Amino acid sequence: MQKIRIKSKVSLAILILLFVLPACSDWLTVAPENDLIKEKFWTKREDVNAAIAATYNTFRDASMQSFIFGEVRADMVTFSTTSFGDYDKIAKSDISPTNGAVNWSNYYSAINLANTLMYYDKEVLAKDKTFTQEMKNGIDAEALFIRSMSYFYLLRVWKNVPLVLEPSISDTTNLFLPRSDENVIISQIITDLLKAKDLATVPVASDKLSDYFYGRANKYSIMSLLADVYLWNEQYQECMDYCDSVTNSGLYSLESYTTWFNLYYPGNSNIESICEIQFNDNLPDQENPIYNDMIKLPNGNIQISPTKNMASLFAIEDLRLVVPRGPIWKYKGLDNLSSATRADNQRDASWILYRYADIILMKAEAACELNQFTEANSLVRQTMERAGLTHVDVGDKVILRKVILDERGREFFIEGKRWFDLLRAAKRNKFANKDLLVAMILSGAATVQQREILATKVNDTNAYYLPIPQHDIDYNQYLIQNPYYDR
Amino acid sequence: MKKIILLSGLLICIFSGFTNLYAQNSVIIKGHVVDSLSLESMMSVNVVEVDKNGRFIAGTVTDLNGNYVFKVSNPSNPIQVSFIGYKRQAFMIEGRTQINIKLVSESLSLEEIQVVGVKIGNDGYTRVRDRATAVARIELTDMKSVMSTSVEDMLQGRMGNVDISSVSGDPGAGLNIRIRGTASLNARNQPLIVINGIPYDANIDDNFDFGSADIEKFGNLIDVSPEDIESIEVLKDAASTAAWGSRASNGVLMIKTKRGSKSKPIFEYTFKSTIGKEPRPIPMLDGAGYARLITEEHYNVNRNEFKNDEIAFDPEWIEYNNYSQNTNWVKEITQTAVTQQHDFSVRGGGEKSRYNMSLGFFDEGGTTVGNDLKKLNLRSSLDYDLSTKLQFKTDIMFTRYDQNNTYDVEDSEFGGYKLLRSVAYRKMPNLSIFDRDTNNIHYGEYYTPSGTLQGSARDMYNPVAFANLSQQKRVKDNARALFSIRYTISPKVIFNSTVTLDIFDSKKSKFLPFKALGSFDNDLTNRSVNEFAKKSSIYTINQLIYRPELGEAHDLAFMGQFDTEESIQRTYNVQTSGSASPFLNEPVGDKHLEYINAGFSKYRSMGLYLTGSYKFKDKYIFMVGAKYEGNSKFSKESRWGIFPTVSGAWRISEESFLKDVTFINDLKLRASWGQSGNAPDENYLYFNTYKAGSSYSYMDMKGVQPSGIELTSLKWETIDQINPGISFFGLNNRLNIEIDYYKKKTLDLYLKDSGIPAQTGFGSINRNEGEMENRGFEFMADYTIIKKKDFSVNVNMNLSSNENVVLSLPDNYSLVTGNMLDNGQYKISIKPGEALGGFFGYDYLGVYKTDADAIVRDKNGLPVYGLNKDVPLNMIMGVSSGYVFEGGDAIYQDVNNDGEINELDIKYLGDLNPKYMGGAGAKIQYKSFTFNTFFYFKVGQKIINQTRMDTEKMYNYDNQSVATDWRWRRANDVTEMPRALYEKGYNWLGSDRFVEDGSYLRLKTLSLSYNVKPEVCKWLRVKDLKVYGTAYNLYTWTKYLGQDPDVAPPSDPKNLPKDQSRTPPSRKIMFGVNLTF
Repeated sequence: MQKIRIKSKVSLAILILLFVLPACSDWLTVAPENDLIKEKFWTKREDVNAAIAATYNTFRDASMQSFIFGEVRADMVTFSTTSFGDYDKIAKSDISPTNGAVNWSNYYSAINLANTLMYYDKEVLAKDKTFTQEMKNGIDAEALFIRSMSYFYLLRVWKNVPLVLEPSISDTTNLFLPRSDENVIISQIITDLLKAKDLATVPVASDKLSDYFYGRANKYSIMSLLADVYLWNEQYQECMDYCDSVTNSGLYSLESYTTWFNLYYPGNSNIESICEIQFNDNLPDQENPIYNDMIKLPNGNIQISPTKNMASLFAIEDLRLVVPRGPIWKYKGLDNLSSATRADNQRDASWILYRYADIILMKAEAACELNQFTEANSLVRQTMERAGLTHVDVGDKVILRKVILDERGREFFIEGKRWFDLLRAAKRNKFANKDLLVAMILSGAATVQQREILATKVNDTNAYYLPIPQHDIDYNQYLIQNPYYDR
Repeated sequence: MKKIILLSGLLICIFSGFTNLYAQNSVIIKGHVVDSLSLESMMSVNVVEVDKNGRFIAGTVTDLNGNYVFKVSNPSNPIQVSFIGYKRQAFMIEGRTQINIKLVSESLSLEEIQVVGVKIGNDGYTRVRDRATAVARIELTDMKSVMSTSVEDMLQGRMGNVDISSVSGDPGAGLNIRIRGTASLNARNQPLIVINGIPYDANIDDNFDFGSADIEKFGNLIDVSPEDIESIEVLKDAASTAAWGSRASNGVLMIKTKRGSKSKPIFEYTFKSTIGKEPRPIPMLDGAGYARLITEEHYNVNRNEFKNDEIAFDPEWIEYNNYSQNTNWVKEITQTAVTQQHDFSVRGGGEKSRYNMSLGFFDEGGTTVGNDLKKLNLRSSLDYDLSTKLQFKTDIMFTRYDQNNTYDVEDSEFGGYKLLRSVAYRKMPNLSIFDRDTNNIHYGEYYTPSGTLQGSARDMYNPVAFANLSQQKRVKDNARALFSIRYTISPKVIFNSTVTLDIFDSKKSKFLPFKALGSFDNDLTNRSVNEFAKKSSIYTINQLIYRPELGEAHDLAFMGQFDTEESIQRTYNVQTSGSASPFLNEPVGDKHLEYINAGFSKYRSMGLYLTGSYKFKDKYIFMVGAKYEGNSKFSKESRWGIFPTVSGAWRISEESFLKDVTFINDLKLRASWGQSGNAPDENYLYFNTYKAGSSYSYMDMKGVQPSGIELTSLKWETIDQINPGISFFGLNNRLNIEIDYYKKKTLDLYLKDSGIPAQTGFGSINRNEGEMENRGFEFMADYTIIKKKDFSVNVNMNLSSNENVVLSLPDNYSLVTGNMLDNGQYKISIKPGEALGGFFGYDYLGVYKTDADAIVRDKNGLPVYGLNKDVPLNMIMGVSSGYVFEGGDAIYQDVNNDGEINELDIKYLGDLNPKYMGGAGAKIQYKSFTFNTFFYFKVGQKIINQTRMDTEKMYNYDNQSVATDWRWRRANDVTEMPRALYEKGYNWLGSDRFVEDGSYLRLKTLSLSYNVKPEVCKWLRVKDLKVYGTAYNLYTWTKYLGQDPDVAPPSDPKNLPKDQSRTPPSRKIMFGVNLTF
């Protein structure tokens, strides 16, 4: 009798354990009380807006880098070693994968945030009735714009890069992707943008009252980017078509000769701006870092100095020749005529992604390639006349190309476009014009000896792209270094 | 529920003298108890009345003459008579009133081994004799004559592969304990400490901005006075640690404290007093020597005279007296440390209840000025046997710490690591401690100029002022209460249940008054910091033990254990600066607030452990077990881990073919295999958390973004260990040898902050991949050479080795640090096939005699010529400026003969892991004297002598050691010491010059104790009196040039083993008295 009782007690205990153990797993789920966790996020419309804000914020960091990449290896300005030591090395073609500026993490952070946003906003749509399908479309379009723009920069700076289209949410996703060919990336960008332009909100003139019109992507900023991508991909007719679509919206035109400086101060030009990365010095952590690093002159050292080549591009009567007024007047001055400068705390200069002048000149370039010289000449004339110059029609394709390239150089002086314009011109028809870049790279060399060494190597077109960051080579065995840097 | 009420009712009865309740029908019984052989009267024998349920009703103990008398409540109940070492007798009263008893000894020869034979391990379940696992055990009675001041100190070197090294010699600083090497790259490497069956986790996790909290800051102090400890076991292999689950994967230090036993009250008082002195520091240059050095350093770079008032010794200068002294800064911040310790305890008890209460007070002084520790320990334990079936146990423990340390200078505060000692070594020696006037008189005010030649006071403060004026106090209260029930359901089934509550409450307050630095920096002046931390944990353990009876030959036992743990941690930190007065040293009022933050963290774990053991004929022992464990640190998918263990032993000495070999008493071959899990220290790691704030916002939209990736796959790091061993007792049990070999493999290595490509949008994650192995052997011997009544000699020694190797790492993993083109750097790379903790550097070959010697040579040592055929190429440094080596510069081996010193010329310089370590001791007892000595050694670890590097580099305005007097000064000087060069050149690249062999042999203790003769004791009316003296760290044999070779390995295996001028362990002399009455 005794024995049986004990046995039943034991089996009872086992039975209880069997019932208790499944409940144990819940007992072991302990969520942090100090932190916002994924499980509590992504429920409301506000969460989506917060996420798109963070995506823009990260993209803004990447854009600052793009700005410098757009100038550093080109011929307009030189960067000082004080604030831009790593970039200075790039300018001098002393480039190594361990160079701190050879870093693409900002772009990929932005891409990941965009991917994450597009992954989760579906869930919010189901959970929050005030978050409509239309809102979701608009958000998706913005995310696609940011992702495409980031890839477009990655492509132009590094050529073949990993194509990440899934968010890095869990460590179960594949975190180690190889490089994709630039053609794969460009077609992904085009697919995305074609989708985005249909999803995006269509702005109307009254929207210009809000900074969101300039600071966030809308249908026309997406089309501008699309035109730029087509131009890069040598699809000139498509480029012209989308330039026309932007023009036909009726929302944009060129600022006049007298009001030209409104583009930079106060910025967000009512008639010319299409898309600008916004800064706001009234809000914490949203000051334009350019002011500190480039406009101010710490210890009297000029951080960015114009080159001789740059000065030779401009005619004396050119409205845009702002150099004599000091470094980067576009970001420092209050207007174009006086020498009044912005106050120390006015650090909100936007960084312009696209403005209407760009549409005109992109279309001109595409027209030229399609041998529509009349059209091209009339377009170039628009921006030249706005700057107080006259334009004489050019009938020769090679000369017209150069005219357009030079005009772009003047029009977008220190707007982060020069290197990409040159690279596009050089790479056209399978790098038929690589001399353009070779000359530029050689002029950057620090010494005569280095120039000689570079001269032997720089015909390799891989030299025009940066090496893969060492961090990524170390932690991703599938990445193969740009062969130019592997020697 | 009813039962609980009933039980608590009964408990109340106990304390209110419940025996009165049973007073009816009582009979008085008298008698006399003698030993069956000698017929001598026996005192303190228990005589009790037992009811039919085995409950003790009434009882007494015999007096000095062996007589007893007591009242029996029910004459039909049996009487039970028992005494330790004798067979228990029970009989009926049957109307008698006088019962004389002869007790029969349990074993006629009460040899030591027989006592060991019935000894139960500190887990309360396994028999020590039948263990098949690797467990080292220390009985504290053996250690009594050594009389250590701390538990860790006592253990150092006593057991194989238990590597204990001090983090610092300052009071309250922790010790670094590694059992069988470093098994994890990032998860916990410290062993688990278990006190009386419950984990004791003094570490406060570093979840909340305690950021760099390492073992030094939260020394894992074992809050038990050595006087309170009965025995310590170190569980090493996976099979023995299985019951403790994940946190035990690095071994368990299992401590059992003294409990009351059946006896009259015993009072014990111990007094110890220690005087400690530091070993000799590195001798430094005096004022004049310093001035000469700096002038030369400057001349060698600029080729002109260095004009600076501070080292010009110009009596005309107004500050002349403040800059013309000879101050030995290190000596000024060092003092003789005095420590006092009082321990008082009472223990005793009867058949039913036993108690032990103790009080300890400990007051330790540090050898660095401003360091001390006061500790108060209160402890009480009560065992109550309600019946033979139901037993209760309770422990209450309380510790209060009051600790003063040197203000902890953290990186963020000063922009560099500025430890007190490091500054004291480097501070210019001609500077005065106190402010002197033009007549060279001072009034006790510290001289703290806001800046000197050496830089701002923020970086190079006055060490004496800093040590005396800055404050860092820590008040810590630890409390633990344990309640335990043991219910013997039947003789075969036993149920144990324990609930424990642990509370750690600590407050750290720091204050840095203006005068300590003398420089006005808004964020530093009168800075005060408060850090509150509170951790409370609840542990429950329920055990069911089942031992079926299967006859003489078989011994079968099963145990099931279910345990849970929950711990909650709260922190609150605040820092302010700029208080109006140095007396307002708490962060209150309207000061400038630097930061404020609060944290909360919770952790839970749960485990089920099932084990069965079987013994056949005392010959074959076999055990299997499995621990199923869940932990809140992991996601639902990877939360549960199952960790099996198997062990077996063959008592070969019981076999017939060895029965006749008389010199073998017990010979056991054993082997074990097992796995255990290891979890990371931090909570909530797997959650995908989102961060918000202005730095993520765009325009007027507030931004929120994920701060990382969800770590769904984060899982247990598994440690797989195999351990064969031999246990031997022989020569009449006078010789004990234990040999163990182990192979410990860490699977799914936990890699913290392991880099991932930026394409993911993040820089790093925590993950599990890779394997690492530790293998080694342990040998332990204990031999009592002579054992006579008045004279005994015992020697013991242990020797162990551990070898570490990283077996594999993930493909997408890289760990390389150290830029070899900068001075002072060493390179670490963790690679498969290499040991953890290895580092690389240049091969130092001496000093170029002349400029002409600093040329490139080919493999055969012939000069290499350049374009100009007459002039050999100069040796250059592989940096873009291409520094050209000159006469007086350090020579580094140009391994590849390319004429350039760069990363291609580095070689492996060694690792921090000792090849062998161990200890040896002897104990000699002659009449009342006991002499005890113990040596401790470590062989083969390499240490980077950072202090020597800092004091021999001659690169800046730091004071340097007298060794630099041998520096190269002019062409053709032959020396090993390069020239002085102010911020130029590469004379202190990370090379073997600063890497030293840290092997040492230390005379750790030398002690003599004297037991006062019983006659004198009687006259003094005490039971026992012992006086003793012990010397610690009396002498160290070593080639190491730093202050002390006992350098703790870095808490992060990715850091270099550097000797960073911490306070070294001091040489100590202790006197003590132990009194029992």
